[in-house]
Amino acid sequence: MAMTDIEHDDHGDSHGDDHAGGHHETPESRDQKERMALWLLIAGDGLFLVLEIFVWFYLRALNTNGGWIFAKCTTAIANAQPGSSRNLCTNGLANVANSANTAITAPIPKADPTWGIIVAVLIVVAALLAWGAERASRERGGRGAIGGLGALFFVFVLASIVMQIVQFQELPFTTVDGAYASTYEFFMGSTLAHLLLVGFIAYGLWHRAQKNMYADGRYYRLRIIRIFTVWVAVSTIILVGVSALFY
Amino acid sequence: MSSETHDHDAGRVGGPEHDGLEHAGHEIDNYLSGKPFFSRAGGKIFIIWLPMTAVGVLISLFLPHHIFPALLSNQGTDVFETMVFFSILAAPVAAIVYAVGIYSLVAWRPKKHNMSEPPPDGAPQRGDGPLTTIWLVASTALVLVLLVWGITVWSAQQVTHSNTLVVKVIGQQWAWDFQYPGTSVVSHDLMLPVNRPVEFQITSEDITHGFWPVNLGVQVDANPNEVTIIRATPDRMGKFTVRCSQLCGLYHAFMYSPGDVVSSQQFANFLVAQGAKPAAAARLAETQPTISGLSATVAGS
Amino acid sequence: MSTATEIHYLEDTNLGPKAGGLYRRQNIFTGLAVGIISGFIGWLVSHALLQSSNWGTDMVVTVTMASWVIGFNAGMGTFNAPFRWLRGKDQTHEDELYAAGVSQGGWRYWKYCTDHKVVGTQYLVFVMALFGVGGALAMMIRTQLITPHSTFLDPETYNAIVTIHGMTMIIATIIMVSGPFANFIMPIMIGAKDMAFPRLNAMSFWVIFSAVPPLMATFFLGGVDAGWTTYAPLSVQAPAAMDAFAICIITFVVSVTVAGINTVVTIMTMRAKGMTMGRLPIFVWASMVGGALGLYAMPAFLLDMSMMITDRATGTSFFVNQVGGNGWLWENVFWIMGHPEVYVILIPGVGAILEICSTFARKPVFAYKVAIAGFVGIASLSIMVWAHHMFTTGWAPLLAGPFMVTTELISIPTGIIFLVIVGTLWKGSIWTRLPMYFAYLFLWNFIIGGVTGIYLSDVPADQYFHGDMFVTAHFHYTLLGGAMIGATAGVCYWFNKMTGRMLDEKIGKVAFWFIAIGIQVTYFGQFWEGFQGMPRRVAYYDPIFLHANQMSTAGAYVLMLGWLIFLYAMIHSWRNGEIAPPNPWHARTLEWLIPTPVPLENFLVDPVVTEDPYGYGDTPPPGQLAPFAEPEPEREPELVPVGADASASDGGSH
Repeated sequence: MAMTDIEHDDHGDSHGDDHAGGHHETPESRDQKERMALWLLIAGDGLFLVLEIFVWFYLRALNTNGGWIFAKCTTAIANAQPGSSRNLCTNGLANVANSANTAITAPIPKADPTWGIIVAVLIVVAALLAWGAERASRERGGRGAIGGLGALFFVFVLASIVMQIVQFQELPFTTVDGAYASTYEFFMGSTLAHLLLVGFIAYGLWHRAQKNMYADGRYYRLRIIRIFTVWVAVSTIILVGVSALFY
Repeated sequence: MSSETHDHDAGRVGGPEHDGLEHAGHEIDNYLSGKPFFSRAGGKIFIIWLPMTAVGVLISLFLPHHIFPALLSNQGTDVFETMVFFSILAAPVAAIVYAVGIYSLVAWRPKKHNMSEPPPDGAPQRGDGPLTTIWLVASTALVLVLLVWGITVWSAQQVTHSNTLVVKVIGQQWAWDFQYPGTSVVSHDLMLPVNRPVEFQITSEDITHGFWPVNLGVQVDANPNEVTIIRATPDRMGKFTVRCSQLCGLYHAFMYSPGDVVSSQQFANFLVAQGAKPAAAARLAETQPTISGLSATVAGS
Repeated sequence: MSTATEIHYLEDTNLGPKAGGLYRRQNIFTGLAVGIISGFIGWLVSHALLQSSNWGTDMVVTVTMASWVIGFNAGMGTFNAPFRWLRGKDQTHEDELYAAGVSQGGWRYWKYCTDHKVVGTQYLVFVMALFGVGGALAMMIRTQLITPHSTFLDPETYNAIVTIHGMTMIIATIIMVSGPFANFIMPIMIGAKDMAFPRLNAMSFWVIFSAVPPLMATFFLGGVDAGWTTYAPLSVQAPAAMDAFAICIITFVVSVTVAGINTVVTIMTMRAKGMTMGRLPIFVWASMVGGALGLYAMPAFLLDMSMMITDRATGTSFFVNQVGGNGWLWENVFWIMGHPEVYVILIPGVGAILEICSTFARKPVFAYKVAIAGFVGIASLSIMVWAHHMFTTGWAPLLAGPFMVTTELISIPTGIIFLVIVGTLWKGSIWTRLPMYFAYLFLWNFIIGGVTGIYLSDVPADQYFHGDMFVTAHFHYTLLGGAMIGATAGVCYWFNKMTGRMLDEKIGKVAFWFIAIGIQVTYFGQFWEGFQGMPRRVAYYDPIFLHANQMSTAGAYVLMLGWLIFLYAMIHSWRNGEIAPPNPWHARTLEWLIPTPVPLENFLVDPVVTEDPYGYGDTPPPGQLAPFAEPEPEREPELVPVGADASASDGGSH
């Protein structure tokens, strides 16, 4: 490969905090890389979300052994395929390895979607606040505005985490109550994991805004945070929507 | 600055200028003068390719007879024929790749060459549009042939017959049970009457097993709380083995049952011996079944 | 115009006494110590709080293993930068230089080092260790199968060994090219100074490092007896080892995801001036496609293993049919990961082979753009073929047809790979050095692997062969005979650039013949077993399979001998091999135009690329980039303006 020109590397320049591995980088190239990485991460996370929804609908459609929701037991008996020697309605969960030996005869109630909706609303507001912080940084660069919005952002994410945990407490079923209950709780768990990550980031944003680290055109770092928070909000809405609408 | 362009020869280490250039030089000249790039070597490679293909086809035709166990059903015959047919199709393709590979080692390796230095460059051949097109068209055509074959055979296997013997198969760690509906027979041996289409309805008591009556050329998993179905028409008498093809825990290796394709009379006798009522046994073992669909001729013979 | 005064080696930078912060105190030993302590605390706490619940043991094992992983990484330094970010105390330039290994000598190989070359070397050694473990397990399997009813292993141990052999090899093969070479070589190939995210790069290595102890711990937790595919519901009932197994996979997923993102972003954003996408070396394209495909596959693995843990440790019902779950769910999600994943293994290996074919045939890569289209075609089709692993599960008989179509279509882009290799060899002048030996072996094996794959893609034939030794032989031909031989060729090709010493070709060729013959004997034996109808993963077998098994075992011993000789060649050459010149193969990709050993940040002056690296027979070979003289430890590097005296340096290297 022929080299026809040689350029100087600018080692020995003054160093900001935009560098990696030891060599100097412009904020623009840093921004470009981080955003591309973020979108790739969101693509992977999006696939995870799609597969979670697949799990929901696949288990719901199969309704193996009438175990999606025990309320539908009567239908399941009617449709029981020949050779299906066990049925939850008649046999309960007895003799099933690795699960509690509690025969369930009463149908489980549907989970109250209100809690999920509250979580979704809180994280949506948090995403809007992150957006506001980004705008504040881009337009005014003021420490106060970003810090204030950052604090609010953190508070709302924290509230959504708390609400998500409360929802676990308030569920009318536990993990052993069939596929519907399992998938419902799995959705909540995956949302909680995302919220905890956003909580970590939100705290950092707030703290760093206090230290005036988002001044002088560094809004692009807030944009990274905003994009991810919006994505978490969108995925939360989707999960809450699926689990509330498709009983 | 633009001083990176070097004198070609000065930059190269090595012996005399024409060392080893007989091949490469000619080919480059041919290439540059617009002569057909693939003309000279093609004939010799064809001479290598032809016997390799012939050997491949012969192996495809004769080897399966010796390494397959006796295949006792229509589906087994399908497997056998598919193997032979696909192998015959694959032989020329594999042979062309191998022929070029061998020829490249024999003919295009510079002789009397100092191994610590690179030989002179080959032709700057960056691609060949027509060749690529031919390759793509040919491979697509081959794939289409495979697909037509596969889908034809597969859909023929899906035809249901009116007088099918139903056998319920129940897998559990680590044994197979076979039930013959209409009788009370539960057997550890799988007995089947010859020339009678069979539908296996398979389920499992505990975890996933793989129901694989080897010589019948079919298999499907046994899943708890699900019934899976597989069909076969045994067309030759003989003994075989039912194996488990999914790892199912500690004694997976010991999860097998003997099987036997027998005449209708023997089958009826077997059922009676196992406790079935003679009338029911006779009905299950009924000869001359009425069969609809593609394999009527096979079954009727 | 560059001059000597403007260039200095970064290695020689004097760092302040506090550069690096916490990194100064962290190395593999603190990692192990913190990991073990953390795991122990995790065990204590979970044992006290959770042992009495319904799934106590599973919860305890899960928490303990997760604590180990988190603790190890905390002790290693994985979390330093995120927490410094959180506290608003970002790393300074000096800290970054320290983390990149400045003035730490060989010690940096034992630390959280962000230099991509250190990470690449760490990966190389780690992969060799994994192959050692996986290979030893394979030999135990083959030894057990010498006789039909061997008492060498009991069936419980045998099943555990089969599982861990599979998963160790899957982990090793996924990282065997994208670890050492896509980290060490690929950034240099595109003219970059490092990966896009050097810290994530170090993270990807140490995270995968921490994933392996839980995998090995499975032997002491009862063993996973469900095969590497860990089909539910058997795996839900497996001993507590399965929890450690799942934690291993989740950790592994984090590593591969991070590495995949890093690779793609590096290639998209870090290319040197003039290095357009159309001039990228083919190996870089292969790395990018492999990395992106890994990114597609891993979320499914994460989901599957997360649900496995909740099924086992909290009693959910995803996979147990009796309580409303379904084993087919596991199988679907698993193979949505599983089939792309085999191409994550394969494609980078093929990229290395194409690079080698071009160099040693002294010809351009044939039909470069078609080859890229082939990679992309394989990658995009591979996400639509997963259910061919499930033709015989009975989950959806109607879908067998469509999946047979997509599966067989994938042989068109795979055929392109053969066209490109054959076209590159065509009328080249073949330089039969050691890497080329392995390239030919790849060609031989991969044809066999490919053709046998066609039988399996056909539903009627698959109904016979599914789940028997034919499948085992087929995927070993593609993954060992294809991908791993590609990686081995890559080792032979890039060893001198990575270690500074030439690989001993005499010993290497002895190893080659053992490996080449060993593979054929071993796996033809297994094809034979498959034709006869021997199921996979059996500890005992019907005596009718005796001869085929003995053939396979004999071949396996030959193969083992070959790998041991190869390992000896590597270790021997690494320690006392001939000092490597910068460009022993007279190749034209950028990694050969810089000195060996490669200085920190690779290019002391930014390269500018004006053409692709395959100008053989067409354009004059490029010279070395400044400083082209081999830097010697005692001596200041000799700095000569680029191009002024290139031929001297070229000649001087011999």
